[in-house]
Amino acid sequence: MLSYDFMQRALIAAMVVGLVAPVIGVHLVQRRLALLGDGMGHVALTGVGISFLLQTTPIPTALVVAVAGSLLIELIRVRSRAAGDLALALLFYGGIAGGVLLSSLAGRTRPVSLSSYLFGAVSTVTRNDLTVLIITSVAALALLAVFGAEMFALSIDSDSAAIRGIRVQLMGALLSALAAVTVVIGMRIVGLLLVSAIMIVPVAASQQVARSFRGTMMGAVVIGLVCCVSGVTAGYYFSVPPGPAIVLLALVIFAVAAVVGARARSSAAARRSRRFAESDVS
Amino acid sequence: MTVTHSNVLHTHGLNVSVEGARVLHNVSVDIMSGTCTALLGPNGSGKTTFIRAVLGLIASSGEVRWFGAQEQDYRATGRVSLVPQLLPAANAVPVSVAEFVESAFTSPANRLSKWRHRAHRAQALHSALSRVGLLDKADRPVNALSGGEQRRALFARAIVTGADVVLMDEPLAGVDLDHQAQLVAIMSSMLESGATLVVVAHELDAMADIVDQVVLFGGVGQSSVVYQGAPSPEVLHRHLAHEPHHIHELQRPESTGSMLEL
Repeated sequence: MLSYDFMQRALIAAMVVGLVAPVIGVHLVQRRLALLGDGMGHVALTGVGISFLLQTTPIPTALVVAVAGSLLIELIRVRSRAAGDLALALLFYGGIAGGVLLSSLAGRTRPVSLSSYLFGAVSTVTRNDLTVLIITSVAALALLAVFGAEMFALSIDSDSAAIRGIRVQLMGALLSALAAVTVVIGMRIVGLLLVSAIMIVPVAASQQVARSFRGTMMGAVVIGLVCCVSGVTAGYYFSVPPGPAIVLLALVIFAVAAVVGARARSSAAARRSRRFAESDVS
Repeated sequence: MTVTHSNVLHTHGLNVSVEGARVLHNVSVDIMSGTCTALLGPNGSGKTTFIRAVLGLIASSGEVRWFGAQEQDYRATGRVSLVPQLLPAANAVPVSVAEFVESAFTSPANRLSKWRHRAHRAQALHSALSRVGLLDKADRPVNALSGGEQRRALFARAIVTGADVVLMDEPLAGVDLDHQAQLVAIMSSMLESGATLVVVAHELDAMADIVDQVVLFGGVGQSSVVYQGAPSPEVLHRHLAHEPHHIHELQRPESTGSMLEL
């Protein structure tokens, strides 16, 4: 498998997504914005449509459009009376309609296919795609290294964050933009329809057994890496689409973690009850 | 009023309106350093609104001076912290007690220097958790703590950075008597170490021994300060009888407090 250049690129891209997506995803889950990635995926579809129409490279175009869309969501949420989920829904519909319409218009002059962006096409990742993915991922992780602590503090208590001078709206916009970047990073691997899953499901699995934010994040990264590499490998050996394989594997890990976590919590509760009972007797 | 060197917070003619309706009217309050001030009053009298206004969390008009400076400057000092009534949100991802308390160190001022002070922070975290008796629970998810323990975690977060002004929103509400005594003991130790406490409360019972000044909010419709001064028994009696709007019937107490006519 590794003797093929395209598989080498696919595995590197998978590892990049497996690393970056859960790191951003843990902040989204913490702020109860788990569906934001889905919204961003739909907006990125409009970016792909624009790139078809203008005959530009899809990844950078989708990146610009998705980031702009993420900032628009924040603006709608903060400035208008629309609630966060309503703002997200508006972008959902607008994004997918724009993507399909623009692709259709572009298809009048030359053949275009949205499906490789909707469902992923990891084997077609080019060297240029990989370079853009790596640079974008490093930039996203660097931003998170600098601002992640403020996003975390904000997610715990926005009032206390504000009185320490943390800019609540700026951090919200930055998190949305990072989600948009991650969606575009994962676009070629798992596809726009499933990319949000690789941000969220590893976090959901990890938090079943973790006791801290940091522990959840590290567990989610391990799960993300294992799923992405395993999914791409399974795609090669079993001729199945890697995106769905990655997501289904992550869901299986979530199910196992949920059972293990529930058992651990009930054991801990039983131990506490025993301790209380013993202290009452003594 | 003149602002002295020990004046931590000074408001003059502070007004707050919510959706066109004035909820706080002409509130003038002075908080001196190293003291414990209780903000008392019935539900809806604007105690919490006052705290949010002086912290700049909601829009207000009038004068607010922190440490003799202009309103927003307190943010840069890192000297002010807030203890909300409850854990603000049930986070989806587990947050350990240590992470929760340590989050108080996060601010734009140390955005790029946060990696340099790890040893100092670890020491401060250890000290704060020791003071509130949560050292053995540092690794537990904060949402898994009991109500009283969660309050202590909020206290630890307020003191871990060395903030010397702590605003507390009903820190004893809904806590049993044993835990109230523990929390008051922690508040007392904060005062001994030189901190200034501003505490929103419904009653003084549990913390009567540590309160130096009472600010009583009341009034029909829009709320204002009806008494500021020492916690005189007469005022407390009226307050506990839930009749702050009759406060003008009281004799001016012998204490340093001043009675305001409604």
